[in-house]
Amino acid sequence: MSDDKNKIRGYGEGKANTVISVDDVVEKSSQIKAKVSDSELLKLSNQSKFLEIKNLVAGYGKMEILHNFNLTCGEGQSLCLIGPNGAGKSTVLHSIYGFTNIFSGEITINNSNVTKLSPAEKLKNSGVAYILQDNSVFPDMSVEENLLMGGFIKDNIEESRDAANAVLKKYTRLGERRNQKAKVLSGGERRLLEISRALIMNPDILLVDEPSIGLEPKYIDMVFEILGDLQKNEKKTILLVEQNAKKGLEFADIGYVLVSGQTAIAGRGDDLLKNDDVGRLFLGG
Amino acid sequence: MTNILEVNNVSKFFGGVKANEDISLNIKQGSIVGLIGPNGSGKTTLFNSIVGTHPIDKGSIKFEGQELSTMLVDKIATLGLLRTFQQTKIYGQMSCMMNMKISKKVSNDYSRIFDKLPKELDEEAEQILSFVGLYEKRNLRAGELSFGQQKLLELAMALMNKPKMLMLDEPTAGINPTLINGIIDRLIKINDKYKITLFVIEHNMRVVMNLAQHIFCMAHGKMLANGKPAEIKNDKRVIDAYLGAH
Repeated sequence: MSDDKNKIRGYGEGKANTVISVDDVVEKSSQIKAKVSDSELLKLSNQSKFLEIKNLVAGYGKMEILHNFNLTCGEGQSLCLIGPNGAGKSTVLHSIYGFTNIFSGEITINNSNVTKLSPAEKLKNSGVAYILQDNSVFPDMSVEENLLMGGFIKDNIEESRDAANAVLKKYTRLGERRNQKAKVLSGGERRLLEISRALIMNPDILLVDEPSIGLEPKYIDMVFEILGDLQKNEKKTILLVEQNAKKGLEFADIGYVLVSGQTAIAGRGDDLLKNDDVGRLFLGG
Repeated sequence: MTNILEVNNVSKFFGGVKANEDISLNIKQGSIVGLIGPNGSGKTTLFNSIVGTHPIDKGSIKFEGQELSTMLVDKIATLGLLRTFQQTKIYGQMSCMMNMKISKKVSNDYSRIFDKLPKELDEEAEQILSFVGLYEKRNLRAGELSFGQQKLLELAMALMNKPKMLMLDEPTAGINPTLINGIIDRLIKINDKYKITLFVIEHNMRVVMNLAQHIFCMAHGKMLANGKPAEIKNDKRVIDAYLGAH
């Protein structure tokens, strides 16, 4: 990791002179696209196949968005998907969680096949939680009630209560406001509530869709610190989609660049940040 | 240069919450102005007050010298003042072209709302779609576009009415950096080519710094600071309230 001085803050800064149309990005990236081999992906995940996606073809309705997509992520690693709008980044997360139509291919977690499981089954039995891109707190419920909703699927509400208490103890910003309605929270606190609500089920894998969207600059750094803490200290495996690509790649161990439903480039997050092609085509120059 | 918009001492309360308190700002005709501030500081409320979504409790809002705060929403919309939203508001089941064509207000005569859409609209809509880079997608259902593309469509829909002033609520949220550059470029061209004044809410400082000539910063419902981009970036109050310590 680079030292604090060079860290990317908020949305990052810089010029905005590189103007490339999305179609050009697709064309140019298909030129630089080398076939990303399975062995390369395995090298990035340190030979672990904790979470593995093999030859996935998936989409919505009859529309196919991901074409033979592969991914491997080790336990406790973080992986960030970047790429143009419409490349299929969110579709990868949706497929893992069970929101898409899977035409062929396989998704395994810890060697068990979860391809056909429903989102509820994954949440309950496979240790996967999904954090939405859209604002998803229940505004008229209290902070505590919102957390309890995270455990709606549990048979025993006391378990949810214990988990909620642990969260409120850990994140004092929420603890101080446990009985206030969620709608009075600031944007950063809401995002923290959304993340911690997903923790009630004690998932191994967190799927996070655009953690920084719509957030003011100073909270962006906070959200990534929280995710970093969950990865390092609680050994969560984190898969995220992030348009704030510089910040996302700086955070993640592994970065995949998606273009038109396929992986164009895969590498260590730090390496991708330094890659000229990635910078020009995907980070805005 | 004359002011196209003059906001004087505007307050808006929701119950006990002071969403806007004593806000004043002027926007020069033909300029690009940014509005920043923490989540919940009252930026969107101010936008809503200006376009007449809700009545204000105090103050005055003038657009080209006309008082807006006592005017009804449909009247305000005909003055050439338009806004877009944080969440995209498009018709997902309709094609992009149809979205464009129904955005154009052809007449104020309600007896004509069932009239056929005039043919000339096709060409106009195609031109604007190609300007924002969506020409290839013009016949797709708008709901099939990705989020970023829907944002562009919304911008294109607003342009159909050739507004004098366009107010954009987070035009680049959820859009990838390369496309953001494209949007900044388009917005500067819109401002330059169509002489449309732009008033933009944005969190992405890379966007604000490269786009706006003047920036207002709100916090807790009040105006905290205003100035040129470089001044705002180094303003200690703005750093503390919004940008975070450097």
